[in-house]
Amino acid sequence: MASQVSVATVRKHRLMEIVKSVQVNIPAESGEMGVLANHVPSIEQLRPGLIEVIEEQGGSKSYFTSGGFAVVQPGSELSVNCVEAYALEDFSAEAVRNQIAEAQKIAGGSGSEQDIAEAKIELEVLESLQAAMK
Amino acid sequence: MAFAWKAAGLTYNRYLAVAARVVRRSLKEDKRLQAERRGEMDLRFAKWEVSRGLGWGRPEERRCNLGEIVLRDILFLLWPDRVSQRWQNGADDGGQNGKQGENKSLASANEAAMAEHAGGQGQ
Amino acid sequence: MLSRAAHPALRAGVAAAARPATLNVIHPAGYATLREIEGRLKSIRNIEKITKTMKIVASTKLTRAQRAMTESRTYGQTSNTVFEQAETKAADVEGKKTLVVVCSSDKGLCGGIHSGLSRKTRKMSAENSDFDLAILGEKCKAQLGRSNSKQIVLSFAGIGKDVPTFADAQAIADQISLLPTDYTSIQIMYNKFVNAQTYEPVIVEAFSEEAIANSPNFAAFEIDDEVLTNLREYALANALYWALAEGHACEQSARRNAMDNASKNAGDMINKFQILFNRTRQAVITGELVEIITGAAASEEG
Repeated sequence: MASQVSVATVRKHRLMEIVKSVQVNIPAESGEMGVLANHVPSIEQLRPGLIEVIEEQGGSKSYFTSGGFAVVQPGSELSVNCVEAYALEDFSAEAVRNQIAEAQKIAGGSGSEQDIAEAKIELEVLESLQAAMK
Repeated sequence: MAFAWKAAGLTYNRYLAVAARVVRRSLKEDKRLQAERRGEMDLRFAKWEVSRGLGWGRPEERRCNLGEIVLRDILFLLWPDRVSQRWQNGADDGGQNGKQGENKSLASANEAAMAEHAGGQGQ
Repeated sequence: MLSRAAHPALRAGVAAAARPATLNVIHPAGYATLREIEGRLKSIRNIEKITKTMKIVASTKLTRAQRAMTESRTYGQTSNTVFEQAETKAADVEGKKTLVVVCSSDKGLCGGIHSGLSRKTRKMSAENSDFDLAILGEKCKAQLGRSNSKQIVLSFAGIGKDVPTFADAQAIADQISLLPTDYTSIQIMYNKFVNAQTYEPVIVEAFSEEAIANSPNFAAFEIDDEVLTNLREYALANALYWALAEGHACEQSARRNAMDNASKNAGDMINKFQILFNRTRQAVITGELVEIITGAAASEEG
């Protein structure tokens, strides 16, 4: 019985990293999920949020992702496939603030439905990022 | 789990693209330059319409002068396949069976198409 | 006989016959041919320079393209592991609608990249032309627009200038998803990178929701219905990105090989023409000398 879940994280800006870890917390649409070894196989759509990889030794690495899919394969292997994922240090709080202001303007404005929908998406992502950075 | 953007007609890929764009823009300067390159998209596309009346049937009627119709029919009798290629939908596409629409920028076309899609779904 | 033998032209002709054959050809217009050869030499040298530069550019682009290709492979394959595990197969239903996406590009001078894809498409069309075509790239559009234009529904331009981005693949996937027809199976045709010398056109399948939902082992995965649609769109974008990146790498490598061959051929031609030029030049000089000497001898006698 494996006591580890091996995480293959595939991000669009870095090659696959195969990490053996104890638990991985992923921000699924259906709620925050902790994936341990022998998790039931499932396919989860990821919300923009923090992925936390808790390593064997106890340390943990967090990455903020913009969205994607996570698949738990039978065999305790978790593959995370997201478009963008960066460590929290790589973000700039000021850039986030500026974008929030802009997105709020568009969302409250009278643009097309698509523009408003896109601005709302941006707000959702930015608020989640801001919360994660605190 | 109804998504608001779905109702507005956006596709999942578009949602992901918007989210990724915002994440890239929130990065610190050094990482940002590298990341922005991943977001570049400079494609144009064109929709093709398939005209009716292809192959061995009569070529589709369309507005054209009488002389052209007569000539076309005569030629059609002689070389059916050549004519159906050349004169299917007229215009100046020079021998295409499918007619190519105009080249549109993919980004704006995607948004326009999603707007239509939303309109269709809403009904 | 004597008068004829004394005829200057005939005498020149006799003298000419005594000289090697090449000289016989060029003697009256020696300089003009020399100019021609010089002109050709100059243009071939220019061509060689251009093809050499193109080869170097293609090699540089190739390294970047290969990196992108290896990356995209991992994404595409991770995306595919779900379907492999679930043993998804293309749905085999009545009224099956297939869309074939041909991934080529806008630029030429890359050997048989585009024609290989077109040939495979035409072969498929000969067996069963019941599929629609979405073409990425001007080159294949031009080729398939002649033979299969009835089947084309979408065409994209602006491919091949740079390494493809995932944003490209997403935008294309969007347009395909927004097509009016609901396709049971989407087959993506691209050139697979075998090694630096070889590539071959292959097809990878992007499954429809039905096919996914009907996969034998799919019950093992828990998934929401809405999420399934999103998964399918995402998988399509992943597969397209994979195909685009690999096709791009194949194209750069083929262009490098083609330009390399062209440079070698140009080099060979330059050598050949250089030799011909020298020989011609020497022949012209010899001819002139002979004329002078003959003239001098004739004036001495007279």
